[in-house]
Amino acid sequence: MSARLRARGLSCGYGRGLTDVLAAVDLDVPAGTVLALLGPNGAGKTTLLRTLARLLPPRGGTVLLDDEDVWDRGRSWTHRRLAVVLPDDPGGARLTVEEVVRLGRAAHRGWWLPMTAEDDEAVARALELTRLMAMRHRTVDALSAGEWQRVTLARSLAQEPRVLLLDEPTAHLDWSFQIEILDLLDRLAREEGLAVVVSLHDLNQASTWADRIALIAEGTLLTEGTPEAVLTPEILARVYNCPVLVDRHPVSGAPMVLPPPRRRNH
Amino acid sequence: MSRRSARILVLLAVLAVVATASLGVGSVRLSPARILAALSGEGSDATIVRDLRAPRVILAALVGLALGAAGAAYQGLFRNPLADPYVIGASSGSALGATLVMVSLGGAGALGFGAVSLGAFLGAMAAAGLVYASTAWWGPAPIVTLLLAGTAVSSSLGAVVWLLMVLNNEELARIVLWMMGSLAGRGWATVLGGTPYIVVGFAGLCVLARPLDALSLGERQAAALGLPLRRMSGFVVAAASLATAAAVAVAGIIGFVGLIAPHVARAFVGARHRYLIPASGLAGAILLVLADDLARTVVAPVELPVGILTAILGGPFFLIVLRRSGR
Repeated sequence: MSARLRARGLSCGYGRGLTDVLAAVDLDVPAGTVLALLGPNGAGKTTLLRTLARLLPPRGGTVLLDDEDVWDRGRSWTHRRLAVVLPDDPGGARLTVEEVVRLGRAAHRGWWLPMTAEDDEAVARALELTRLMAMRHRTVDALSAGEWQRVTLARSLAQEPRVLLLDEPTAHLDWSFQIEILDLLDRLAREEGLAVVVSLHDLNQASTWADRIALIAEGTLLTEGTPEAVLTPEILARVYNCPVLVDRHPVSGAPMVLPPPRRRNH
Repeated sequence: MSRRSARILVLLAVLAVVATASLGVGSVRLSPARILAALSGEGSDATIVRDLRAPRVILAALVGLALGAAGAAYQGLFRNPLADPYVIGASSGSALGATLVMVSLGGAGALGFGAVSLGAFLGAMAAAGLVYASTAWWGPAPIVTLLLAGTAVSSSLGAVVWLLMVLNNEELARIVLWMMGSLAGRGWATVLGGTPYIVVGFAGLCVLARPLDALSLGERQAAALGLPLRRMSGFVVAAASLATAAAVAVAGIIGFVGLIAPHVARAFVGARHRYLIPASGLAGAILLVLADDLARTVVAPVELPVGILTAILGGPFFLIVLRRSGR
């Protein structure tokens, strides 16, 4: 049941724009690993995730899931294997938490087939994993941004994907929920064998929870590798255009990125 | 049976009671016992109940059902608590399509209902599709943007209807009366003509409940679920427009029923469209039957067009919802 997500020579962008947002992206995400996407604002992390999720047609190259081109295999084939968490707010929807999570089963049941006991189990499991069981009857328009973030994650887990893509899942969450979400992703990769791609802003979260880091900058995938290989002062100074210090985590030894000391006026 | 299915049955029972009681309302008041006697017997009571009032009450219920269900669908599709067939311009589109047919056929009842309905359907599709496409191009539309787009479409289409009326003044009176929205003088022929379209449109919306749930979360989220979004929203526009068009073809423009009914229904059965669509249809039916009772009696012996009454009652409701959704 292992799955692997790959991109080969991928160019991404919107509509008939003249230039690609990203070009020549090669990626390989094996089952059981977490890949973090890092890069400055506007570098194209969301565009890349949307292209990998088959929501945006590539302008060149291919997205492969288990060695099959997702555009050849079609929408429902892809979304039975791959789920994506996007950071949209719920708008004015008044559905309950459970009703939204249940929609995750649409990929398996289509737009019309009735739900089965198997679907109920998947929904219950997704609610358990995200600790939403207690609030499953609340309507989503009354949730905090962080609670809604967990609902969208639960909805994507109800899809029972083998590949999980997440666009800034820790935005709007307070510190403890950020750690809880990242721990959950880590567990899903380790115990369930999911291939996880997650875009993050916090370099140290990437260093702590990702097996590999892909750095998106300058219109392409600049470099990809282990946290030790990517999070170096030289690479980060070039990409983020400001000086940084890189130290070690006192317990794990993972690279920790620190801002430079405050400049004092003399 | 789930709690929400039970509540839908309650709405159905309320509709049955209201509709039966409405058979006694009008210039000749009939007690429940006389209504029951008239349904099976002979004489003047029977003529009033069976030939005049029964088709009218049934038609009010059908039109309310169509407008309520279409309103719930438009509110989900546009993610907007103020959307309804009237507000987004689908009703005006129907009216223009129907008027074009009426004017060009010169009121020939022979080609009759089918041609008028088809014109109304195409008009509703074009208007709703235009508003949906223009708000989709601009990205997720704020509530006010949609209202402005709907108003713009409505007033341009309405102006063309007025132009047609001025150019064909022999049809003027008939079209004006119909534009105001009325159920007066409709017989069994109209009921039979409108029923198939309303049933198909309503059933279509019931079947599309899951895509409507997905679409109510926004297009991007709906796409992430792996549903064929474009096709589904096209089906929703088509089914809601069919229901709207049938309602307009038989009763003219009756505003705000499609706005109010989904809000009433949501309080009863929640927002899931599997329950919301039928509940909104039933709430719309109850509302319109009651409104038509009022229209028949409030300034008797003169009869108000029911469309004027729903507009008078619906305007303030619209403002209340607008104020609440602004927060």
